[in-house]
Amino acid sequence: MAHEAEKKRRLAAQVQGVATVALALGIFALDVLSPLQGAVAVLYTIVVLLTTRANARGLTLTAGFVCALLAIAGYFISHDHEALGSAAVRLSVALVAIGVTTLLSVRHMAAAEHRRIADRRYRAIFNAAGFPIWEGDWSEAFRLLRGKQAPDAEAIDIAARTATICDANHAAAALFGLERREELVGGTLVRFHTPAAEATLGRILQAMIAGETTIEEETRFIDARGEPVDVLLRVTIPPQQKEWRQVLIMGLDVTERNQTNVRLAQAQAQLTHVSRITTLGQLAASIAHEVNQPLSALITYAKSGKRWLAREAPDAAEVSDCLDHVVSNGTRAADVIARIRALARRADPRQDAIDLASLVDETIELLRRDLNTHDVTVEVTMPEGLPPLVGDRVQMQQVLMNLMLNAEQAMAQVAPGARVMCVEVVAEPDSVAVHVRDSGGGIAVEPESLFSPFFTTKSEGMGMGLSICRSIIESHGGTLGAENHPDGGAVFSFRLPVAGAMESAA
Amino acid sequence: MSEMFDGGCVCVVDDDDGIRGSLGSLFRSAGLAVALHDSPDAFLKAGLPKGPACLVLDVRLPGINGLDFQETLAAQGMGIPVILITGHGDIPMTVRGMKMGAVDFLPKPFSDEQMLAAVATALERDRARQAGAESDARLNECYARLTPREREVLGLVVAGLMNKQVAAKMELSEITVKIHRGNVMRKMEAQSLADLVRMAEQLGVRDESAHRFNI
Repeated sequence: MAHEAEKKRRLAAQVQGVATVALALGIFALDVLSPLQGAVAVLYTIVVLLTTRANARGLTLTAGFVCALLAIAGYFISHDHEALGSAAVRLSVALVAIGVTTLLSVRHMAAAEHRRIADRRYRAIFNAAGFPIWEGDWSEAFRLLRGKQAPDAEAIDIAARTATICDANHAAAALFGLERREELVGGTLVRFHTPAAEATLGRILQAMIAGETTIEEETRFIDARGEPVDVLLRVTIPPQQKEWRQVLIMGLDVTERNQTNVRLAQAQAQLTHVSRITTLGQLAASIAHEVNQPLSALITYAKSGKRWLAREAPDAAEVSDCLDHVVSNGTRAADVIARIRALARRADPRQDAIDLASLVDETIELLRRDLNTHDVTVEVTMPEGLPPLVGDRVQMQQVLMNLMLNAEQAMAQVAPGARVMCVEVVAEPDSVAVHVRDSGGGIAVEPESLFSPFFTTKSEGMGMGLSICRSIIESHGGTLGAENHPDGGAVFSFRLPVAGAMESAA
Repeated sequence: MSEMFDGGCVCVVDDDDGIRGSLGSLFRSAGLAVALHDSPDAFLKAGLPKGPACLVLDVRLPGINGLDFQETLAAQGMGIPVILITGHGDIPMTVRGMKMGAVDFLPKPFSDEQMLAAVATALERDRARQAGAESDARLNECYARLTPREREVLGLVVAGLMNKQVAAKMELSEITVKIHRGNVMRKMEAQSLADLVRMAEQLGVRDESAHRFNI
């Protein structure tokens, strides 16, 4: 096949060559033999132009040269005996015309050659690129959406159906689970769409309407095998493309990266949970006491209620009082258990509105028994009307609990009367800072090293507490640090953006 | 089933409202007077109630250990019987409490019968203690009425010396000794010599150096 075509092409070139030579000879004959006084030699420019079709620089130059010779020869044959006059002027005009045509043709051919090389290089890169690239013709979408502010669902749907793929490389076909790129070219991506992809397309179109020429969006497709593929799309409209006739789209397969991230997040959540359970384990004795206390009261109230009934003159008011207390103490025990269960709960991080003041109070309440046992005095400074934070309440409580327990343990060597833990909450313009200060011996090592995993000063510690605290705070867009206070003791501080500030930053 | 108590007051020192209130109700239902305090300081400020009383004391109190407070009470001579209660007592704690004379050591949650039985024992002990203290006071009062001479005679008489031996030892006439002895019996309100001997034992005023057969 290719051979035949080659033959045909060669034959056509030969025919054209012969025709061009014949034309040149014809013009020569006309110039010499006809009595016409016109600038017949100017017609040689046609010959020069014809040779450009062969796309050979040398040929065109030769043709120009030969044509110029023929024109000069024609002049000498017809006007040899004449003095220099109008014929000589005509010859000069013809020679200039031939020369200019030849030069322009050659330059044009050089430019065309450049373009061809550039185009070939682009194609080579396009096809050989290891990542998926495809070109789309979105001109229909352009017509449809021209002058609109935001595309509606229907417009997006139509745009998606009309945006044909003009070209695609092999990696693009592989991205969509296809064997050959020809399966992609000429069609659309509609069959791979998911609701997420449609939403993404909407956003891309909106950005394009707004005049952006480079848009990056992450989305999800369903490939030909039915597997979900996460793709980071980069849509580029080349500068000279005014009507979205050629839109260049690069897609990066981020499925694996996303899966890894999900697994990482899961592992982190598990670790966070384990650390929380470990912390609760440290509090086990206090918690048992915390539950036992109301239960003991409840039992005694119930017994004494029975006694009030069994008296010779039963006292209804006393019995009623006992029952009230049975209820309130039962509720108290249940509350303690609910608090613990919330902490022991294993759930994905949530986005709650957090009232920091109540969280601090509740955490101190939870640790109250333990702090009392260790003779720790707690001082809390908290302004009124703190702005709410957004995040996972349980994780936040875990951080507070860890910092407070650390403070308590840091003061184990201090005289019982001098164990003071200060919890200070400070409202800052866009954030809230919490400082937990102890009156212990301070941090003996480089404070930053406390936050590295497996760093511990305790014999039974895992050394993960602070490291996990930091990752919790950082996942909430905040910072956690430690330093020694100038007046002694260590201060652990974290700073979290308030709800509004975080949204505007995002 | 309700034990009826013949008076008595139970003081409760516990920082937990629930425990304190429930014990209050229990004791009142059994006919006892109660005084509830949330801290040892409040208890000390209120002072001991009149009549037989006992103290139900939580071992774990904010700022102070109940056992330490028990020790302080004993050191201050406040002999009120103590019943210790605790959320999680261990053996060393129990031993220490009982050694210091606690009536009972009850872990929470305790049964009402156990608690009331312990209170009954404690009140009985306090009643006896107070009765003992009363008779001591009475005896001391009587003893204070004796003249130095009479006290000397008392010491020798209860040591078993006969009147004439006493007279010889004190270089008095036997008649004078008899008069002194009669005064002692009257002033001490003793019904018999045996009675006087018991009183002297209680007061510790027997003349240990004197001996009937070896003057």
